[in-house]
Amino acid sequence: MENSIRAEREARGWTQSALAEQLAVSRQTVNAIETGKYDPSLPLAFRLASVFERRIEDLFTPVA
Amino acid sequence: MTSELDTSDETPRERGRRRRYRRRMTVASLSYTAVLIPVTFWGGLSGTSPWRFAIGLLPVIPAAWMFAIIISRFRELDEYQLRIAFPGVGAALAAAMLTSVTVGFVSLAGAAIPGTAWIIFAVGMITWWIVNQVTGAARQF
Repeated sequence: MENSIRAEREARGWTQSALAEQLAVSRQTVNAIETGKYDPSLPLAFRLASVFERRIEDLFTPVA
Repeated sequence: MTSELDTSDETPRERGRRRRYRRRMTVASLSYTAVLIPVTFWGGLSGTSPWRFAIGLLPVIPAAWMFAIIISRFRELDEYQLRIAFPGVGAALAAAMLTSVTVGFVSLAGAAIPGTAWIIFAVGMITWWIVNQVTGAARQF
């Protein structure tokens, strides 16, 4: 799964820690999602979508 | 690719939780040591008093407290942290079980292995520590 979390975060000038705090997860988790090491659960994906005011499918793209 | 927005800082919530864990674990470890030393050296465990069994079990209380702190820490981890913490727990369980079965069969064959319980415990804990170092889960504790 590819995602645009890093781009969305940087566009807002947020640090990984700041985003992690909003999502109530660790910075380690945000980093793992951004680098593609970890695909978040559906509840966390919804929280990401809510924080960025985007749809989940705008943030995550399945890799063919 | 990194930017000035990418730092290795923990979130304040995460830092607070990890520090609280370490503080509690330090107090529990010191309590364990404070109970273990007098029980071992002055508890009369090799005597004949019926109280020696109760005295010998006293270190279990702070040890149980340490395990409760670890469980409490696990409950604070988020979904990714739990995912990387799981291999350590699984490997430790497997190593301890395998050691237990091995010691059991060796004992059946007639070999007397002193301190068997401690060997199983040590194998489990050392395996947990090693796998946590490899997976990066050690940073969470």
